[in-house]
Amino acid sequence: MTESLIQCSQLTKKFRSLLALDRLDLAVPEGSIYALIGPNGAGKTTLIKTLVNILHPNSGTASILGVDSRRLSPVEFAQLGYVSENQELPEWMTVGYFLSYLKPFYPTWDDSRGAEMLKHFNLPLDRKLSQLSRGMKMKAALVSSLAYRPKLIILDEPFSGLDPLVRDEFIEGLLESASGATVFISSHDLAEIESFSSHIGYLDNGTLQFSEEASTLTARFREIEITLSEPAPQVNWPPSWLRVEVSPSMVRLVETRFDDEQSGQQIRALFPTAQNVSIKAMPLRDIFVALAKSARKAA
Amino acid sequence: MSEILHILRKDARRLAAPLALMIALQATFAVSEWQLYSVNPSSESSSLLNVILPFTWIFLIAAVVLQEKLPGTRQYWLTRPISWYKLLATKLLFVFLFVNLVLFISDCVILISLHLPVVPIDLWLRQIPFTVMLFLPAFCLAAVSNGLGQFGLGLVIAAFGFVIVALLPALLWRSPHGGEVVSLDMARFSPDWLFLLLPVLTLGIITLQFARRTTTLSRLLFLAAILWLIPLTFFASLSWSFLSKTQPERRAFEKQLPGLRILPDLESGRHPDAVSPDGFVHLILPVQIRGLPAETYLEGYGIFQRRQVSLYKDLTGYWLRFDLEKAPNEITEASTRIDLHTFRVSNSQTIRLGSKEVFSPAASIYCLSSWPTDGFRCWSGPRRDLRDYRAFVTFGNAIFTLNDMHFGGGIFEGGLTSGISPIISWKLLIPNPVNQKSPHVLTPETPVQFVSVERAATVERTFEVHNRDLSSYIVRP
Repeated sequence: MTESLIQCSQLTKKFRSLLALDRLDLAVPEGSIYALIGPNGAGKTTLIKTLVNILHPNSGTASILGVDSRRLSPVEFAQLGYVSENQELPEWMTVGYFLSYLKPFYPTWDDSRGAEMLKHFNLPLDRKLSQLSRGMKMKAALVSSLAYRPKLIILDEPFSGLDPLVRDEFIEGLLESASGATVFISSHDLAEIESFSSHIGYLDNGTLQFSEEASTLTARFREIEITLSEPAPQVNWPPSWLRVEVSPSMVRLVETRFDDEQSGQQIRALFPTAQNVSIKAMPLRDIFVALAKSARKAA
Repeated sequence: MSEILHILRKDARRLAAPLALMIALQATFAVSEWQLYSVNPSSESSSLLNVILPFTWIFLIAAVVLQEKLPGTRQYWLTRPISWYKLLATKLLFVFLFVNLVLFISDCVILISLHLPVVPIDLWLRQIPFTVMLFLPAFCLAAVSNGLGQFGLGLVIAAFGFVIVALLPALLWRSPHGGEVVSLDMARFSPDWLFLLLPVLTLGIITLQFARRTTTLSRLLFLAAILWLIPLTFFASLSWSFLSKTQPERRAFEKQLPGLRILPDLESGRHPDAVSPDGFVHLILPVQIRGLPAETYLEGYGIFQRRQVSLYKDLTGYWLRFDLEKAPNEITEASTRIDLHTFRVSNSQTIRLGSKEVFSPAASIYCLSSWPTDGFRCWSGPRRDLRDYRAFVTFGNAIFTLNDMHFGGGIFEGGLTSGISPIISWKLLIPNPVNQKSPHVLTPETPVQFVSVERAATVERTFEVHNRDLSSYIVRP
């Protein structure tokens, strides 16, 4: 059985009356690249900050690297790489001094890896962090968080505000340097995430709607278009159907539990006069939009 | 330890400019102190550095704490392998090295340059008030602030609270007897308990904030501490006699004072001063003190007609001086309740008046006077037996006696160090013997007894004169 490097059980976090995380259960397997997606305000950053002990949960537990998040010590932090879009860096330091300052805290610091990443990102060692662009700062933060070969890398919206070129370089650098590590990443950049994540979790209103391997997720979501010869019947749609749009000659929907055989039988039973059924695979972005819109409508 | 030094080096590098400025100011202060007592000893210290340097210390402490600010969720160091106690140790070490130690070295330089002995323990002890009243609260405030701006605002609020804390008792201590305050008797307000309470509170909040980063709770505790100190100070000031009674030594000494009385001695005649030296109207009555144990000194304060009454001693004996608003047509009654503060001799040395500097090695005191003299100026390094620890003003617990007369404007006010100087100084006027009943011949060799004293006990006594014509005891400008 694969060990989970991140484990949450009934994790709850409130900000006064606002419930940011609601009895959240989560397990991130070792070696996975876990993408946490969700609309703004879903609780992604709160979850990550709770995991790394920046925020403290009101109830429930969170553990990373097998240790309760509230008891994280320098031993665990030495194996953890954390980069966040809104992290405050010591802007007065040069890139070189920033790295040399952090190095003594990490027994596993690898100079050669650091040098490789610096070269890959084309980061000037003598430049102050305050003089770097946002993208360059994120790269410097990434180098400082990967040079010691952490077991677990947590990234909070790392691509936010980066231009496509920098984003590509960032991901490239991340994937090259993070091999073997477990990566937990929250992002809105679904197209990018889809290309390299092995697991995906969808967080909405502080609740984890699903958490599964990326391959099973994309396999079970389908966009279905049914062409009708007569108006659609007035029936209750199956609960696994989202965003059902009905017109006199057509029904469009998103099937969230697609199975070739069962879904086909279900459609034929509901629409016996269907002339044509078109089934398309959905990219992560479309799945996200369908889920988010449905959630909003339900709310 | 290596991590602590590593972070310390980083902080020192980051704060190199303010550190250099602070050290330069400290050096300037040392030079100005040396000049004050060696080049032109009669001049007064009015150095702005007495104000600027404490602000520099506070800023430096805030800046180093805020390098790894504790409130907030975005700081890069929160997810780095830095333990809170090592971080706290680093910051405390920084303050010790760059504030306390620099101050210590500056003190050493000043004392050595003035040929005064350097007693390290005395120099460290003298830093206790600064540390307790200034460094630790500033450290604590910085620990709950999310930037220098917020720290500055907090400082203003805390300073306002402190002013209230400091002034309330001084303004209200006489209220049990009624009457308005006519002078600030700092000796009345003894913040011994504050010295114990403040470091406990501030260190507790600092530790809590570093360990748990519960900023809201820490801020509330900090605010509560300030708000709590106000009524507590008020209470403590009103119940000073109660507090003093709870201290075994003072209580034991107080048992020796049941016979202590202050009685009118009108038969001994009026005060030889024909004219009020300070330009105000006074009623000066001769008094007898009975029941005062040997080697014990006395000062006393009371209120009469909403103005101050003070007990003093000169060459001719004890006198009770009533401040009056204006000279009355006739006065037949004078009564007051007086707080008598007693002081026991803890050390005694002899120095001699002279036309040049006199160094008393045993007492470690320099004195300087012109000749013919009307007074002299003396200074000493920090000494435990001379200190009465206060926040920003250090009172030298010492008096000078010439034969049986002690002078210097009272026991506490006789010698003091204001601001941040390590030097305790006395500027003493010797009353002109010609005007005294019993003349004393002053020569450059006249011995003056320097007596350091310690607070013993405070008792309250009543002084009353009824149905006597007191008009002849009035001294007018």
